[in-house]
Amino acid sequence: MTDNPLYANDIVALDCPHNQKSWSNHAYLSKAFHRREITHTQRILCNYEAYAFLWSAKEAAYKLLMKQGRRNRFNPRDFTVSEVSPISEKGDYAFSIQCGRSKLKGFCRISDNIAHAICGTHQIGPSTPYSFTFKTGNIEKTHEAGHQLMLEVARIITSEKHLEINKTTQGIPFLTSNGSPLATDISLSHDANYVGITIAYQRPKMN
Amino acid sequence: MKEQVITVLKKYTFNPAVWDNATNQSRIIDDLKINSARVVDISLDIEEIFDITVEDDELEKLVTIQDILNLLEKKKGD
Repeated sequence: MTDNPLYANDIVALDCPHNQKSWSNHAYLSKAFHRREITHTQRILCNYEAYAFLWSAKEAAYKLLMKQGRRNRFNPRDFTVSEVSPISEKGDYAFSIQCGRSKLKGFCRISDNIAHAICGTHQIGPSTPYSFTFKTGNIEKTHEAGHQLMLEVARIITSEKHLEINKTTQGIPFLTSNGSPLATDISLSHDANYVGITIAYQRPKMN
Repeated sequence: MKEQVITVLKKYTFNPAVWDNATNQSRIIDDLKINSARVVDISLDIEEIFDITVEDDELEKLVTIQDILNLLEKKKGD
């Protein structure tokens, strides 16, 4: 277990027809969400925003637990969102999320077309960790674009030139420089033609 | 049965190129690049087409195409 901060993000496209179709389907909603978290979230957010928020929160929490060693597969109903509260007028919300005995804190920004949630082991806010969202021009190339964008941002933040993104056997992305893993934590998310990334830079330890 | 499953999965892929090297072991999210939110839709489509019920704990086990085929075989054999 590392003391370095760990973060995970998830992005959900509000304007994606697949998502909108799912959110209009009662069977889908009952497989994905708990009635009480829908009611709780809809006090603050309208229907589509509430569902996008809830899904992104659950997926971000799942990815964080994976980084912490959880090996169960993702089941959205294993997660329960609560304590949703607005923290700015820009569409920023704080939330709590429970999975078994783990209770995590999260942050979600809702904008015109996306919900972008981040869960972390350390403080989370509008600029902690570094987080970015992008809309790509070609939906078929979203994953590729996300990969390239992450590398570009990571090169700027870390000043490392020979960076690569690798994945653990569990599919968790991590940065390497000249083949050596970096402590800098990264998270990538895609939905339709949107990409969300987080990066928490860790200065290399001096020997 | 497999063709019907592939037809369902294709509804949710954005990039047709992911099917070029697809096998039964292809992972729905990692290899076919299907968004995780669509796994719920896939389970609903499968329920409707094959007249079965996919339970909560079965949903999380649908990782590969083969997992879906295995689930269908099990359900149809019950």
